[in-house]
Amino acid sequence: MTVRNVAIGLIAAAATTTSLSLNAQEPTDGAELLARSGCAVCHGADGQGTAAGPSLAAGTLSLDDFVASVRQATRTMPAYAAEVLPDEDLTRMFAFLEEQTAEPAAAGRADVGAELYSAYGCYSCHANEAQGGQHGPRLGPDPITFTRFSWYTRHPTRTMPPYSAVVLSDQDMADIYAFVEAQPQPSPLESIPLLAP
Amino acid sequence: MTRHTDSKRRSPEPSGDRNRTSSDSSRLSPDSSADSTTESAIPSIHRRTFLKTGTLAGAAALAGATDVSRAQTSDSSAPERGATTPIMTAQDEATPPADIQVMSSNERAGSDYMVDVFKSLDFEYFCSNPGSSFRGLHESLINYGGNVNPEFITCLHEESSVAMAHGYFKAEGKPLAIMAHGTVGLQHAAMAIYNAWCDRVPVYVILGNHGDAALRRGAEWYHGVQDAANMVRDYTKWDDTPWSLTHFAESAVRAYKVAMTPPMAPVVITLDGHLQEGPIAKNAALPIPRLTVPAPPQGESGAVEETARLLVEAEYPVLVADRLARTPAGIGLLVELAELLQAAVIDQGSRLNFPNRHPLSQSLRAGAVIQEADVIVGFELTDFWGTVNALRDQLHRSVRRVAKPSAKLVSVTAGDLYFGSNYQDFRRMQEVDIAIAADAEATLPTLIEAVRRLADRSRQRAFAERGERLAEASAAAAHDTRVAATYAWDASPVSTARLCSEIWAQIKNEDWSLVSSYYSDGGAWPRKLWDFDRHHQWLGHAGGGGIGYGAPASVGAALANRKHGRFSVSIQTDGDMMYAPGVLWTAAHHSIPLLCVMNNNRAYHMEVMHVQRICNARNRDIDRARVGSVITDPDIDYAGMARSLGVHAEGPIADPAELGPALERAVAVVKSGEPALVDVVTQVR
Repeated sequence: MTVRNVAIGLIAAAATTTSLSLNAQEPTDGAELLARSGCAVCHGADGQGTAAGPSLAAGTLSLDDFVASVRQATRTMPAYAAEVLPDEDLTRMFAFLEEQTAEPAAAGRADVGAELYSAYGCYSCHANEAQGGQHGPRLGPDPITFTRFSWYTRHPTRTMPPYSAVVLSDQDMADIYAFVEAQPQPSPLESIPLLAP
Repeated sequence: MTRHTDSKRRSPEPSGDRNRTSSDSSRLSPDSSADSTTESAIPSIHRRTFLKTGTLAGAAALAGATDVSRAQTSDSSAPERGATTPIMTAQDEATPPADIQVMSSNERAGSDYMVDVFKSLDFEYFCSNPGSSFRGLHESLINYGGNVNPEFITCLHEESSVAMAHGYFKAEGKPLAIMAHGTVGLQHAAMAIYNAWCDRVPVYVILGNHGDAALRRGAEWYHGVQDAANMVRDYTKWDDTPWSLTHFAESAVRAYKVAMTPPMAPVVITLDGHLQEGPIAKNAALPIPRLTVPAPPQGESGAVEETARLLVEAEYPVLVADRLARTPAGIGLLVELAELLQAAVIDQGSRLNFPNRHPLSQSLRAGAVIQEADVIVGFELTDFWGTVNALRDQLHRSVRRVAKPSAKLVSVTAGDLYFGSNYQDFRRMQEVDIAIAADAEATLPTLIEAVRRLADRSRQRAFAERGERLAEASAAAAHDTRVAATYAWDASPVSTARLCSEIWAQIKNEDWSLVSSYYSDGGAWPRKLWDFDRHHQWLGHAGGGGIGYGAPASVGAALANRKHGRFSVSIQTDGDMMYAPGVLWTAAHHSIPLLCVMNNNRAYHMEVMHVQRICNARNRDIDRARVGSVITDPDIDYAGMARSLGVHAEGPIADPAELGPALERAVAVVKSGEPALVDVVTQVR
């Protein structure tokens, strides 16, 4: 998940936002900020993501990256200038999103996930141990949050094929997440002489 | 040099034939095939009749017929249906044939002269699966030509012949010729010719054909065709069917010249069987045209100057190269330009254009620098549109611009000078600000000179700061790549990162050449982990996406590398290998040293991914996506297959701990001058 993936939205949101003066009324919390700024139109009321925009909840972005992705939006998301959405509002919004970490609805089973990871072809791009390859990034160990993992699997923004709930249930999702989360840490780079520069 | 003709198919001595000049005698009369009774008008076949005894038993058995008319009208000479073939008797052996045809000492074959012409073009090898439609040339090569320069390389499939020539050119920089039947051989060869055409690689294709239907043997009806080159005309640059030896010589030299003039591409010469086999006077005055390969086209000076101005004024110029380095000199020129500007360079990899560990190399972060660029110069790009845009392959495909809309784009490519219609390898049209229709490598010296002239001190200071930032970014990207390789390091099947690291450990102190890694994710890792700075170390891809290129192209490139003492290594995918694995026998037979390391993921894995994508889009049965695309049950024993073809082989190896020692043993075999194969069971990606 890169900054660019996070920074996706719809032009429609911009239409409601560009004329908005958030400073006119001091918002009380992050949820209200999301709604009033128009972010919720694409990213959902709690920033969990919709079909139109990715989850913003507790991702891998730092605050600086989050602000940058809003100021210099790419693809279809409109950029938000500081005059429209000040840094302090973004800071409050970021703090709210950080609290939105969602856990899997069902407990994941890594052993079952290993079989599903293969059966559903995750290995095709992300390799057998989820270490990633030419066609897909590394998924584990230390995966992105389940919320973002789940959202992206349902609504991939690039070339990854989408996995709807018809072919991949929420339980399956949790099991696969448990599998990638359970991957062992690699040996330190310095301990592998063949990888010396 | 003695050939006995089948008297049952023999034509009578043509009247007036002896009055022809030597040059006339090699030319087929266009009227000669109009009437079967005018077979006697075939002027190219001089016949000498004399008697011999003893060793001419085969001809003696056929001595009953003395001319065509008798053979055609007398049923008594033909064996009855079902009759037992008579055994040779002492009387038969003692009876000399009435008519034996061999060349006289004052004659030589038309194909001997052809060999003279081919030798003048400095071909080292002819790759071929043998075929009767070019038997005349075949015999001249091995006897008259001494089977040296060119040497006949025995191939087990015409696709292998062409792909070998494809790989050979990219390692050696000059073309290799292949011979094939004009019909069945060319049909086998066609896919590999298409690959070479898409890759703009010259392959010199020689087709045998019997154009004169009145004199075709039985099989020659299947091997003969009106217009042999028609089948591949859409994806060859030029072809001709010479009707005399003088015509042949001009066309042979012209074909070489056309093939080698950028943009380069395969050419075809169709050689008539009679023109090859017919004798000519030994002292016939048949000159050999002098070859002068044209200097490649250079960019127009005004456009080059404007490009230089854009580059010097840019804050973030990016140089993108794909087929730029037509020769080894191309790398040095691009390095010179990049260092002068301290500009980011992306090497897209159809050739080795830029050292991958150079601080200005940004190939590992190509997407990022394209997004940041304000000027992008594309040198011999096969897909400029795809460089600055992206297509999203989902149920409803969509495209988006990746580069800034304000970025200035400049294209320098000989591709603008030539492309096809039916086969559209030219890709989507990219709007650019300057288009220079010229060979990029030939244009670089003037571009460098213009940049040097325009870059004042203040710009040079800005360049230096930019260079430092780029060097830091490339170093960080390289470190991240090595960290990525640590994941699944000890996994079984072997990770492709581990595979490539183990190979690198074995070859890095050699003068190595990665001759092919086609369609291998293992092929992507070397460009991340190995140290490439010489032209022959990376030979690019197949061009047209035709599977079956990797194995034969590797052997062809290894053939070129052999005389330079280079260590050739290929990362060989399993699906590609099985198109024409007989090329391993060719490597063994001709002692072509090549380390072939199988990236054996037991699937046409790219197709697994494609089918899976469609399953996803249709919401059904993703777990069945492998049906039709995996190569298991039974697993193929590549090592066993290689051994049966005379190649040292080990495997299958699925434990990464066993890989290093197996590679070490195989390296020793290759260094002794022979091919070796190590079958490694790998992860799919």
